[in-house]
Amino acid sequence: MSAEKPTVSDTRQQPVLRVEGLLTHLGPQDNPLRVVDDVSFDIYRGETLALLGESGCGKSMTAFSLMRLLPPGGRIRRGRVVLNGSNLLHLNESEMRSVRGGRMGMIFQEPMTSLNPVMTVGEQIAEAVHLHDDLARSEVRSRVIELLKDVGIPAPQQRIDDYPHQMSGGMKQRVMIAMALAGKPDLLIADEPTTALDVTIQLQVLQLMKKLQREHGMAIMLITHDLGVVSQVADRLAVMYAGHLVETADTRDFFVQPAHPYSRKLLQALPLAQRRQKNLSIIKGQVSSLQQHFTRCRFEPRCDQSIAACARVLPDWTELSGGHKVRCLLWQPEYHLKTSQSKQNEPQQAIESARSDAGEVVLIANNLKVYFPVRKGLFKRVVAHVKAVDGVSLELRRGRTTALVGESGSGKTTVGKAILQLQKATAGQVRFGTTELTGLPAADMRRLRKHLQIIFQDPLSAMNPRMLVQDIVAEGLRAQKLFKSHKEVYEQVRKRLQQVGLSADSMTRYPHEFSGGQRQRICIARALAVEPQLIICDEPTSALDVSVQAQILNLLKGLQRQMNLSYLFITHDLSVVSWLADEVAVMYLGRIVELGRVEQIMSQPRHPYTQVLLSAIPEIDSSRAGAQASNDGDRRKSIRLEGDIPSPIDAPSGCHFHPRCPKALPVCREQYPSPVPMGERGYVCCVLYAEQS
Amino acid sequence: MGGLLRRILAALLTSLGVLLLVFFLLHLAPGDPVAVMLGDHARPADYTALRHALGLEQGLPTQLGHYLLALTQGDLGHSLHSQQTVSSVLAARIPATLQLALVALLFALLLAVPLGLAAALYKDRWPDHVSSSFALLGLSIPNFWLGPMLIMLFAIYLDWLPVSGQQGFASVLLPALTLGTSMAALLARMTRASVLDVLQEDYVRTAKAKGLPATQIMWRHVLRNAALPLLTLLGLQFGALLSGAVITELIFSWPGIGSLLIESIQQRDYPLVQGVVLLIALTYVTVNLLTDLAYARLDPRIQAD
Repeated sequence: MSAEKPTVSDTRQQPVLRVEGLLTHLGPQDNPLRVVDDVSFDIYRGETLALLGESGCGKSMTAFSLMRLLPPGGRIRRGRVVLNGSNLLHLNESEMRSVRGGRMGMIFQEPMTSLNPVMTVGEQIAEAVHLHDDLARSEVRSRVIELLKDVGIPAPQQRIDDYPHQMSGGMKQRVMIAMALAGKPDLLIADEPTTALDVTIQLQVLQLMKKLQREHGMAIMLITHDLGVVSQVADRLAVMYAGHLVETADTRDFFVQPAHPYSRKLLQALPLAQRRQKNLSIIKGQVSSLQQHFTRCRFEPRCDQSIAACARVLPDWTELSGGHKVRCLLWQPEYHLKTSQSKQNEPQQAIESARSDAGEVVLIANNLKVYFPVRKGLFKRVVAHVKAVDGVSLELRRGRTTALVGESGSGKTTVGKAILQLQKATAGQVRFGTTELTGLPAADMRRLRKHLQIIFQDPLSAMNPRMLVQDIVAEGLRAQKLFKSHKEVYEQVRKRLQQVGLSADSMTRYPHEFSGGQRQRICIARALAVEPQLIICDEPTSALDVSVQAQILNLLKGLQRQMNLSYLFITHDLSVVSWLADEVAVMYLGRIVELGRVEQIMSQPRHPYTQVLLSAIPEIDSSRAGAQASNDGDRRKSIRLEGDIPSPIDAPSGCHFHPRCPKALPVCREQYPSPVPMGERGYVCCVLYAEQS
Repeated sequence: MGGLLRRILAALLTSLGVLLLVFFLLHLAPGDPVAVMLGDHARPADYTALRHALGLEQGLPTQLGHYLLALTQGDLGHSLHSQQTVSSVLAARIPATLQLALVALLFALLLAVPLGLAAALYKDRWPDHVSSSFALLGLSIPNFWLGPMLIMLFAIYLDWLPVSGQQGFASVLLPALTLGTSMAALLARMTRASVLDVLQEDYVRTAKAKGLPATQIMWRHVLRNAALPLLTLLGLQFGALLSGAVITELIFSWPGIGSLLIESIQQRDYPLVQGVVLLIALTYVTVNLLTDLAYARLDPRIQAD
């Protein structure tokens, strides 16, 4: 162990963690991937540093390097990782083990799979307590209960003996945090801790982390791709691109004035209401291969503002103001002149004319119900029903997008499936044009599928891995017998692939050869091939990075205009909704609680649940971030919801939302509120508005 | 508990179904127990008399009715050949089969789990290659070849162990080795695959991030989870062993259920064949039921219901 002393000139307090020139390689010795390439940063006590970047940029590899838990083939080539004065890279494995889970704790993205399913949560936390505290058996148990209480798990004496599967995702993430806290860490590394959670639960977990940070004074390194999460909890951030840090700044400074062209692009790619009239900004091309040794700016090939020197010089840090540093030649004084002359962002092409008319109705779902029976006992009697969809009515219009918004378990995906008759409805009608779809003979339904298509969240699992792209796209055409000859079929396939931005040579390749965004384009081409009237988009961009999401959203909007398509857009992401949708329906536990025009819902949400969802979208518009900084978020106060989403097996009596509703009245417990009309065709199901009408 | 009751009911019905199937198939098949008993030169009168005495000239449904009625009172009938009760013949054979099955299972487990584990932990290095070669060999060598080879080596050439029969513990080793080899091969492959799967799991990463030592991660987190799929395989294999390993028992003249089955079929000893088959069916469903119950105990996500 080599003790690191702060230099005499260093007047600031010593950082909890100092990373210097970290270089991590992955894969073969002779041709390695430089997954972490010369990364340096400090984190101070009580501070949250966000490591921000898109997938594959090296954020998690940086974290695993710090923990010295790299996957097989990973190795740290150079650098220093100094935790409270000691260089972790000099420790032997057994010393390092006592650091892991001790002075340095870590939590992960998937709380669902990060806990051992065959051990109780109490046993798993106790393991961590044992390692880092010398306590007797009975003391361990009370320490575990104390930890569970700290992370806000209700009735910890009972929950301590639960198995992970008996807990919700948010609860499991709290258990993970409790486990990390057991070693009283100086530094908590949180790798995408809330990405797999619903927004209302995300807020709970983030606020818990903040609270624990205040109480214990620990430093947090937060790894995330989500600019919203950054703006909510980070004090400082570092933007990572292709294994390299390109910008570091205080969070407020960053959102007021992002300096690196990549950072700006990330912010511009966000779908926001005020960008409705334009295409979202996209980043051209793809991340450069990490197998090369960079001697130039690694963002240069994709940068709109690059100058000749960018291809020759590896940019060094330029300090803009206190702590705001950027690695970009445009900010270096000797190149500065040219910057002012270089063109700013290309003007975004306006894509939308005002839509005043409503559009004709293409499909009507009326009082749709999907119940799944719960069976028990010797003769499998039906003892209860999961009311996944419990009386949903919708009108989808030609050339318009209706967004169906809700958290996991709200039944939104089931609505989509029931409309397409992929899931038999328990009750209710679905009328497409003049045809009633429920109970339609299978052969007739098959013919109608030409008009009704679907796009899924995970494009890779939605395609047969052993089929060529041309056959994947052609399958629907063949099933519908739309063309006589092979030649005509493939001509149509080629046309559709071109329409979604893929070249003809992609036809004879397999799905795994494409990136996530390209795969989703193939799925869109497949849906388009039969020239449908309605496409159900089930979370089509949730698995994609922000910059790729922008491309897919642009594409969907463009196709809608060209082909006058109707979309039912199923999502949990309200910012996507605000950019894309015309009408919004908000679902909670199988029912629509509010429906209306997008402008109205986004600016004046009526239902308390809608208000909560909206408040969970972080404010990241640069023009407002400044204002927010000056009067500390008076406009948008996050409304925190207590508890988990209840199970649809035993939905709460009365209004389903009342147990979590900040505005619940006694009457809410008794009966489900009937819809109160709001605006044209809109309504809200809440007693707060019943008297007004 | 309703779930368990339902499972037991289903198990009994399955056994009954197997019994009925075997009953009819046996009587459809050519061959005649009386002819076997009396030999080729029997007089027709004796033949008829014996048939009558054994109740074989009655119609099949009647015979079945009698058999099932007796069965409800726990009576499996008498062997046509030896006149002993079927239950006493079975009872005499069960211990041998049980002994063989247990020793073979123990041998397979002791060999397979360390081999599979080593293969997973040293994936693509020499322990993995050794283990995979063993598994390939073990699966491809048939018992009817391996048995005689082991006899030649250990019993005849080295003269360490008895050639056949059941005399003392030493005599169980060769048949158990024969039976256990293919089972060990299968188990080793499964262990390797299962451990490799679990090593990829996020919770193993969590355990490492907690700072647990490697041995503790292995025992508490990896093996406990990797054992779950192995248990299913083990249940099926053990069921098969208990039902009598026909070929192996034959090679080593092992007086177990397997050789009893062959003998009784050759003699067209209908009640005895039915008794053996019923025993095998019951053993199978019982072992399966126990496996499922054990699974439910080991994996809290699955409820016994």
